[in-house]
Amino acid sequence: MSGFQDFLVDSDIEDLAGWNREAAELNTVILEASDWGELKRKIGEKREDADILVFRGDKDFNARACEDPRLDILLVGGDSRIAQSTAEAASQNGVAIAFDFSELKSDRVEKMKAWKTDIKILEKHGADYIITTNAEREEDIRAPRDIASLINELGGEGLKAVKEVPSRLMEEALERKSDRFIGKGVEEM
Amino acid sequence: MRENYRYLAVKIDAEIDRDKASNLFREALKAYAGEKGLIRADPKLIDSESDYSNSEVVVRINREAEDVFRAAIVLSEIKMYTIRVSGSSSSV
Repeated sequence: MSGFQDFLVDSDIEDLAGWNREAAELNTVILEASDWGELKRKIGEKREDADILVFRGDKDFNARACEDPRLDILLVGGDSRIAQSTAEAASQNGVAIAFDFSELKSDRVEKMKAWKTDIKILEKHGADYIITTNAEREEDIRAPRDIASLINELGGEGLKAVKEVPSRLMEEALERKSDRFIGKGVEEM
Repeated sequence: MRENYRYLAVKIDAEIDRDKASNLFREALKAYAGEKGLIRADPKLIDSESDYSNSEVVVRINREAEDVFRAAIVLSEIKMYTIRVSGSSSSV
């Protein structure tokens, strides 16, 4: 499927899967932090070098993280879920929420139930969401169109999640790399 | 009333024969959508278009259950993925 990008998959895995995607060329940085101050500092430090900046969510400050437009993706997983305030902030600041497909290896029913609720909240606020296979082996890679069907089944817009939003993030990352880029939505004429 | 079908070419990441492929689809569908989902999707293998030695199977499903079927195979323990899809068996 053209347009599909899995930002969290290692380029070696992509090669094994026979993919040749632009996202593999990008420098994706995954941030972890124990409080908002630490995250804010890390965003500031890494934004310049990172093409895609991902924060592995923390239920205590997901909403605050989404208030920072310098962040590209908030990866939800574990007990970190989407609150109304998180969805609203993500929508306003263009932060995409990522669901980790590899999490469905265990407690599938509970996790899919949580995804369904999260997707409903994200749709209500018009926030973007994507899905990553987070594959560590070739066997963990799945077909994007099949993943889209799973999202449709959970009440979301599958094609938007696997194609349109990743394409937008990709465009933004390439725009940031351009010499004319000054800030989000601003470039030199 | 005439049924509306979709034909999906599915690659299975394991050595298979006809029976194994059929069981894998049925089990995956049953695990995800239950017996009702299995009846709704009504998967049928198209032998003339399948290449079991290459683990490539063409399966016919009810069009309305395409998302259910794809979601079921994406969640399957054994890696399976659709490589082509069509509205007719000859062009898949």
